[in-house]
Amino acid sequence: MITISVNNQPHPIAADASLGEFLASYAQADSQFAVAINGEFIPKSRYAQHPLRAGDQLDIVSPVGGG
Amino acid sequence: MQSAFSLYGETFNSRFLLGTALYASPQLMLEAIASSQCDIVTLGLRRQNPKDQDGARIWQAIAGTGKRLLPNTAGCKSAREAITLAEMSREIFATDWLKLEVIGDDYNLQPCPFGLVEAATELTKRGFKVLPYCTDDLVLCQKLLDAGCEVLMPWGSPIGTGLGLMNKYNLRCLRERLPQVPLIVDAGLGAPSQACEAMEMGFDGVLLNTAVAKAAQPAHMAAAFAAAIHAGREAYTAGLMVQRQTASPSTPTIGQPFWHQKF
Repeated sequence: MITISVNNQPHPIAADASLGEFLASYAQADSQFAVAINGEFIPKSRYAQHPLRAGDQLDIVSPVGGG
Repeated sequence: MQSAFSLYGETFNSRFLLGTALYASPQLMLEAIASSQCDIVTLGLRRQNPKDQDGARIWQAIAGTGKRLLPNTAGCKSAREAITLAEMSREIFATDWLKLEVIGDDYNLQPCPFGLVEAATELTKRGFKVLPYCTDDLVLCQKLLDAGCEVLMPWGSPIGTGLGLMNKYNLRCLRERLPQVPLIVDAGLGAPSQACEAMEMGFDGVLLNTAVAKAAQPAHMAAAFAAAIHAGREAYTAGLMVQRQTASPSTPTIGQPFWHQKF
């Protein structure tokens, strides 16, 4: 197991998990969200092959009202 | 009924851009959007668990309006953060349109001129249609145009203050020096009279959120702002009289009764 940060919360995951595998359990497939890892935007097309490493900081954002 | 105007080659009937935050309920937000008759609404992105149903409901409500979406980069404090959030926004909302915010100071949420120019330069290269929320500084605005922005959104006053048009000299200067550039006063407006004044000065549109969302009756206030924006635009196109310091009678003085020449 390794630990990553998801929206500033520690989150244990399998050591060989990809971003796509992590998101399959974390998010619903039809929900609206986007992901950045360590401040870099990761397009949806790269989820499956993007490896997660210990200490990675994930930002997962969704739409909210805004001004 | 508003006079049409164009932003990035797209024509809009309403010169009123409305934010979607701070409403007491999604229903009140939808009612305000409807009565504003706006064509463009702003919205944002925040850290959330994608399973959060409240967030999903608000998004579905906004998407259901069919309005042009203008996602923002609110809260970003560097060009890098803003660029990353812009890319995330483009993926979620499937639009190149972006209200670019790079905040330079937490006290008054003043836009950072250096971060704005850096981010706008990169984002326009990446194909974004950038509408920067900026200060009323003429040189900054010129630099943002150089960076590729086709629309500018100078503040009236700091976000959420309701102080109105804080620096009218600077705003007039922008209008006079950038006559061909769509200019939208964004933020700080608290009353319809302030929006009307901005439009009378020749600004092309008004973007606001708090003044409507925090009104006792948001939909009613949205209608009031829409009427004020329309009135201000009509007054500007009609041509305002030139102010002067001395009185001048409006009723003809020739034929004035009770006045007699002394012979």
